[in-house]
Amino acid sequence: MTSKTTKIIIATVAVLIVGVGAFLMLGNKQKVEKVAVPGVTDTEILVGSSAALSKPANGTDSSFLGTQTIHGSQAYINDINEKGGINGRKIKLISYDDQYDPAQTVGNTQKLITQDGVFTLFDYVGTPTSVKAIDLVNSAKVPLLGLFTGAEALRSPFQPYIFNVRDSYYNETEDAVAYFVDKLGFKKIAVMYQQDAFGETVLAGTQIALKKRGMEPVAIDSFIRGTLNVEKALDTIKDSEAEAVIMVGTYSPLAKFVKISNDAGFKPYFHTVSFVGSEAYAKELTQTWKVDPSQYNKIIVTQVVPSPSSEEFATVKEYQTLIKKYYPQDTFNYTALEGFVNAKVLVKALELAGKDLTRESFITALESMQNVDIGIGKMVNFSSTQHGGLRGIFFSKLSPEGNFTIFNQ
Amino acid sequence: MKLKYKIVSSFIVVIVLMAIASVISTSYVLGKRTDDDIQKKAATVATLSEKIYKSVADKDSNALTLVLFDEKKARLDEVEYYVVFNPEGNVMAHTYVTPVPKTLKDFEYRDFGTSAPYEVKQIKNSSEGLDVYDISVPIKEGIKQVGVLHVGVKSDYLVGLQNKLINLSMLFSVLLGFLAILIASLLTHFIVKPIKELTVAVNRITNGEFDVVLPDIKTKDEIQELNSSIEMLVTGYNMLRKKG
Repeated sequence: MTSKTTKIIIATVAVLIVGVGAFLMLGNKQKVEKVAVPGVTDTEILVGSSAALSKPANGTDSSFLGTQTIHGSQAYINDINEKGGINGRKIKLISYDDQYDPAQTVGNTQKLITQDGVFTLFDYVGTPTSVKAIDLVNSAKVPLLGLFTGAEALRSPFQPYIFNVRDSYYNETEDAVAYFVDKLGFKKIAVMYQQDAFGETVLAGTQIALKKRGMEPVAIDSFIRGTLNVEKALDTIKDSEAEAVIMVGTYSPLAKFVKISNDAGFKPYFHTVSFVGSEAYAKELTQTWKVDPSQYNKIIVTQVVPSPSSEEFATVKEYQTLIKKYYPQDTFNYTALEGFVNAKVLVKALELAGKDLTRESFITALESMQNVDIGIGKMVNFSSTQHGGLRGIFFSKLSPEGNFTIFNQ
Repeated sequence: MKLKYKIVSSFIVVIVLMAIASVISTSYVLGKRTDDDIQKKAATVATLSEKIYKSVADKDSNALTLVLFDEKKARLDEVEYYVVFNPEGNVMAHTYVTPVPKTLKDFEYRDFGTSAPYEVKQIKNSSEGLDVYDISVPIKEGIKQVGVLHVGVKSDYLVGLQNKLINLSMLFSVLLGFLAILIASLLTHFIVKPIKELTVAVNRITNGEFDVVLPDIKTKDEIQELNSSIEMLVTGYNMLRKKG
C-alpha cells in the first residue's frame, strides 16, 4: 500500500468519524429539546384549567360557569382526540376546582405549572380569580388561553402570555350603553356592582361609555361578593329613577335584585354582562325568584357568542352535536359554547404550531392568527401586540319561555 | 537613597496609608449598615409571619400562597423567594413557579424557642444559582410555633450598593496615588534642582575654581540662605587671597 493510499484512507475514516459524531450529537440535542418542552410528549399535550367546579361551603354558587366552560371545551377536545389528536398527540385537560376563590386559583395555577408541568394554561373562569394568575403566568412564561372574563386587567397593560378569545367587558358595556342611550333614548343609567375586580372593571367600562355621551351614572351602589345582600343597593338606586340598571355579579344576587326591585315598584331595564351565566341566571329569575313574566323583555344580557341553539353557524351546530354526544344530560348554553370556541382556538393554534411544538411556537402560531373563521360569524384576530381574539357583542333578552334569546338591537 | 526618591516615596506611603484607611473605614461603616438593613428586613419578615399565622395554623396553603405572591409582587427588586415550612419540615407554600430549589428544601426546621427572633444565613453560588441572604423567622400562634417563614433577600439588593461604594472608594484611592506621584515629582523638581546646582558649584570651588559663579537661587528659603553664605565665603576667601 502506498503512503498516498494510506493518507486517503485515514482522511476518509476521520471524515466519517466526525460526520457520525456530529450526527449523533445533533440527534441527541434534538431529543433533549423535545423532552424539554413541558407537558408535551410524542402522544400527549397537557393543558390545565382552574375554574369554579363546586359550590363553596360559605358563599354563592358559581359552579355552573366552570363546569359548563369545561364541558364545552372537553366535548371538542374529545372529538379531536377520537380523530387521532394533533400530529399524533392527544390533548389532556386537567381541570382543578377553585370555587371562584382567588386563593385557590393561585394554588391551582402553581400546582399546574410546577407539579403537573402543563404545556399551557387554558379555560380560566372569573375576573378576581384570573387576575391573580397574571404574575405566575408572566414569571413562568406559560401561555394562558381562553379566559371566561372580559376584564380590562387581563388586556391592558398588554399581557404577553395571556390570550383572550372573547370580547371585553368594556365593549359589552359600550354596546349596552349605546343601546340604552343612543337607541332607546334613555337619560338615566344606574350601576349596581359586585365589590371586586370584576365589578370595578364593568363599572369603569360603563362610566367610560357614558362619559363619551356626556353623561354619568345617576346612581352607583355595590354589594359584597359571595353574598345576596343587595337590599341597600336597591334603596340607593331606586330613588334615582333610573331607566336602566347595569348590574355586575353572579346570577343569584342579580336575580334577587331584579325581583326585589320589581316588588318595590321599580321596573327599569336590567342589563348584565356575559359572565353571569345566562341559563343559570334565567333559572334563578324564573324559578327561584319568580320574577313577573311581564318584565322578562326588560331583562337583557350581552353575549360574546351567538345563541347556543342557533342553526345559523357551523361551529354552533358542531357544538350541539358534540354536547349531545359527550354530555347528553346538559342543555345548550352560552357558557359551554364559549368553552367550545376556546377549544377550537386552542386546537387551531396547536395545528399551526406544527409537530415541533414548543411554547414559543404555540405563541407565534396564536399571534399569526389573522381573520381566522372560527365558525360563529366573527373572525379571530391576534397579533404580537394584541391578544384579544374576537370582537363582537350579541344582545339577548329573557323570552316568555324563560330563556335568553338573541335579538337584533 | 537620593533626596528626590525619599520625598516621592514618603509622599506615596502617606497617600497609600490614607487610601487603605479610607477603604477600611468605608467597608466598616457600610458593613454595619448591611447588618442594620438585615435587622430591619427581619423585622418586616416578622410582621409578615404574624399576618400569615392563621393560614399556617389552618393549613390553608392556598390562602398562604396568595399572600406570599402578593408580598413578592410588592418586593420584586429585593426578594427572591418566600417559603413556609410546617413543623414536619415540609414546604407548605412558596413563591416559585418552578420546583423549589433543593438548597431550600433541605433546610432544617428550626424551633426558635426563646432564642434570637430571627436567623440569617448567606447562600452564595449555590448549584441553583441562589445568591441571597436567607432570613428565617418563626410563625407563632400565641406561644406555639406553627411554622417557619424563610425569605430570600437578594444579595445584590442588600450589598450591591455597598460593594459599588467600596469599589468607587478604591478607584478613587488609586487615582489619588497617581496624582500624589505627579505632585511629588513636581515638588522634588523645585526642591532638588537648586541643591543640585549648588552642589556642582561647591564641587568646582573645592577643585580650586574660586572664580566660579554661584547659581542664582531665589527660593526664599534655607537653600537661598545657604547659597548666599557660600557666596560670602567665596568672596571673603578671594579677598583674603588677594591681600595675601
